[in-house]
Amino acid sequence: MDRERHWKEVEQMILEMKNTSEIMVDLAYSALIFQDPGIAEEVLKLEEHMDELYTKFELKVLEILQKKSEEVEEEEVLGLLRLGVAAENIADAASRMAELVIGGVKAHPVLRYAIEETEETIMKIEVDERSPFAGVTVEDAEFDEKAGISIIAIRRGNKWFINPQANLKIEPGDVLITRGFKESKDVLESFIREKRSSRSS
Amino acid sequence: MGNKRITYKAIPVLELLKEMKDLSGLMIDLAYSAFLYNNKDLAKEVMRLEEKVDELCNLLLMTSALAVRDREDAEQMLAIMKTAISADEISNAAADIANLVFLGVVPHRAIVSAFLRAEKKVARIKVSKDSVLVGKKLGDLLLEARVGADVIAIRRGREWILDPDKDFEIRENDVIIARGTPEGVEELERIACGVVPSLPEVMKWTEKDTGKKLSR
Repeated sequence: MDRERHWKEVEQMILEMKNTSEIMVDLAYSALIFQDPGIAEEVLKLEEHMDELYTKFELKVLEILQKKSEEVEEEEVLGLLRLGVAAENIADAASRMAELVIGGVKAHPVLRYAIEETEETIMKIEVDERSPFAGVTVEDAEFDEKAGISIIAIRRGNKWFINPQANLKIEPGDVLITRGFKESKDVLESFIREKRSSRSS
Repeated sequence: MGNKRITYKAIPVLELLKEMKDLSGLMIDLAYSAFLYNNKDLAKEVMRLEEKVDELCNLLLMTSALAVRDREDAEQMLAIMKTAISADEISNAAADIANLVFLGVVPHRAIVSAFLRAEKKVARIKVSKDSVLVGKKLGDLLLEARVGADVIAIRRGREWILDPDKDFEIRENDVIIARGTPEGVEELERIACGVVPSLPEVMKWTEKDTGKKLSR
């Protein structure tokens, strides 16, 4: 029973590390191509989150090893650790890309040509009380066709929701990390503006 | 690394970088799948891709070095070179995961079940000369609709085609990287080796499948 619970936790942790590292890579490339320091900062915040996750994960694995019964094989534990290290390495590589954007290393003009070829873009939306997304669930925020977004992560202070659940309610103060088409960026911005003014009146 | 000679070829930096980005992304998917399914063939493909990314990285660094004429160029090229190195590191991490298969490291069943719930299966499928796939265009095959698995990449000898378009024609000995439901991928395997002589009807969508697709 107790062991079952341990494995469930490890399971969740490793999935979250994998997803976090992959989202970091997406965000880092987008930050680089669009020279967007806001997105780059989120990558570094995710890196902190990743470090915390990884430490917790190591502790958990050690705990499992301590209570080791005949059911756990060394190779299986090694597999776990290596998966964790790989996700960590991927996250590090993403942070180094993000640091380039924050460090003000000017990108070579060729990177600008990449923009034309990239259809998708990552956007960061800060939610305040008047935002159309405040108090709305993830599902409803994504459902609104005018907004045309897909939420890949939500940051609430230091807490992260990676691939958030459909029924999670968005709160004022949340930072949404969304994926959408390049063209939809302007549409989204005017959508937010329009809704804001109708909320305030 | 090995002792293969690195020869300079003039390929635009952007093209090299884009390919490195795409290939390293594909490698991550393949590597996790190779480890989870303890699949040596798939792990080998990851190793092949790793070599390819290494090669692209070397080419990119050489091309960048040649393109630098002054201090300003050098500063601007720095971001590109560092990005390429990061993509290379990502591909190394993927190779590390795939390499577990050769080291005899097995995934714990709890991990396997977690991933299987979260991910679709990825597999490497070789097309035999007897398969109905030979000579067909991807756009005409409607594989996603017929078998519930899609072609995400193809290796033809040493050449990699990512996200092949609908006019792409499958040839004998192509190596397909497919992603889909476990049953779909297995069905595609049978079709590709010629055991299943014809393609199933397009009607195969079940409500469950469409529901899944919409919710993604």
